[in-house]
Amino acid sequence: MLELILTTWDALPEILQIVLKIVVIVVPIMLSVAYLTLAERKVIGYIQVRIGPNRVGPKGLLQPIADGLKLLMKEIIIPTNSNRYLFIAAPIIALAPALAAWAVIPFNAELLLSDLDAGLLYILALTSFGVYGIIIAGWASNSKYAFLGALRSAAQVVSYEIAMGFALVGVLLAAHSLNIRDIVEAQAGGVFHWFWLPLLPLFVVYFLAGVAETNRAPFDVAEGESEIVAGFHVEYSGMCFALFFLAEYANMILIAALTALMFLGGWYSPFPGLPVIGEPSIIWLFAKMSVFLFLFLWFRATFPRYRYDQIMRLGWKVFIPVTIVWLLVVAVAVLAELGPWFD
Amino acid sequence: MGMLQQYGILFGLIIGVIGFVLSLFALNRAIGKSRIELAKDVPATAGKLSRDPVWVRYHARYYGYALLFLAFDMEMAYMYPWAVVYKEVGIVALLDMGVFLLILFLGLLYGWSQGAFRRQ
Repeated sequence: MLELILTTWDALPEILQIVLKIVVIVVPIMLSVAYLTLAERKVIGYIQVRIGPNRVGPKGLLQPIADGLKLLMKEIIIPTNSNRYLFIAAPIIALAPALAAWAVIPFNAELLLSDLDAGLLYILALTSFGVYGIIIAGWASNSKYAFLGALRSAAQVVSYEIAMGFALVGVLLAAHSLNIRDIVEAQAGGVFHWFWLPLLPLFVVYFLAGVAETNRAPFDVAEGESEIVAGFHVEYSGMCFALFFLAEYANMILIAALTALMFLGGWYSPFPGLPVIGEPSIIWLFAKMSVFLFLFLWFRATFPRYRYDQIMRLGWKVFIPVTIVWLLVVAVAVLAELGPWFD
Repeated sequence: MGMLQQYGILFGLIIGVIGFVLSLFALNRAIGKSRIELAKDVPATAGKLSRDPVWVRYHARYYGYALLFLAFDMEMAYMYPWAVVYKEVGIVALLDMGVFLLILFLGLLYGWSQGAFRRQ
């Protein structure tokens, strides 16, 4: 059976192979996004001693489908005096990079769409690009609240991109490659061989900057539904609104995947040497991603929102100095070929 | 697969996503209904058009940060290739980037002492 599939696969024209691969990557992401929204409502529900959605389907399992259908049927209202082309383009600009970044994410040593040498650079470029969607949306709406959201989003980028980029430089120093698969393979071994331990401050900074980058609570100032209504997407309805939602959640899953790949050994098992559970497997990657996704939800249920100048203060006075100092520590440790990580 | 094809896949993915979004819009047009109502397209300002225009010059109070951001972002761009070859080049690379980082870090501290990070 597998033989048959492989021969048919090889017989397919190359362009069709690529299209199929793209579908295989994008469709599961869409499904995960849908069910992540349900998981979020359920988890936050239980944290707040409620039940969460439980009416549509068994235990509320069909809720995301119902939401999607509802949003698909709703009308896309374009406000008066807005720039309509930019208004329509903004959600696409937000979503396209969030999905396209997945092309270079390896799920295990073989399963990846594009084995780019500069994979990490590509990811960094695309995740930064997603912010343009938010800023353009806020500008094009020609509405006060949307405009304020866009400005706040720009402020956030200015304070977090640097810390995030520096944290990645630490990973590059340790793995000396920009290819994500090579980075994971540099961490082969058990839980103490992974980069989280020598790069601990960078690991924390990277994940928190990732939370800020995806506009999640407590850094959701661009949205801030209790201060500026809904910030950049206040004017959006129907499918356009859903696209922003898709982009945000796809980015969350992306950040979770990247953190797991770069700091927690990706698909490597924490207990090498044991039978069955010691094998490197895609399941380990998913388990690590789920932990980070749960953290995203937990943060949202726990922390109040930062003021935007507090965010900038945290970014510039804490994260950037910490990362710069720790980069030097890592650089020296790499030269000294320290421990199980850098030899 | 050659490098060009790898980039071809990335390009294809972006085109594919845009196509997917446009087909969603088309589907929305096909199955959704649109009602004509008065003032439904007024922006969220309590039902009235905003008195003042929104597209005006606005004092971005974080321009100091923005300038520092440019300096550090450029530095980061230099650090990526540096980090990849760091281990081969060894101590020379450490000293080179160390000096560069130190100058920028002193700049950061100077800006800090002059109140560049105060709320304006």
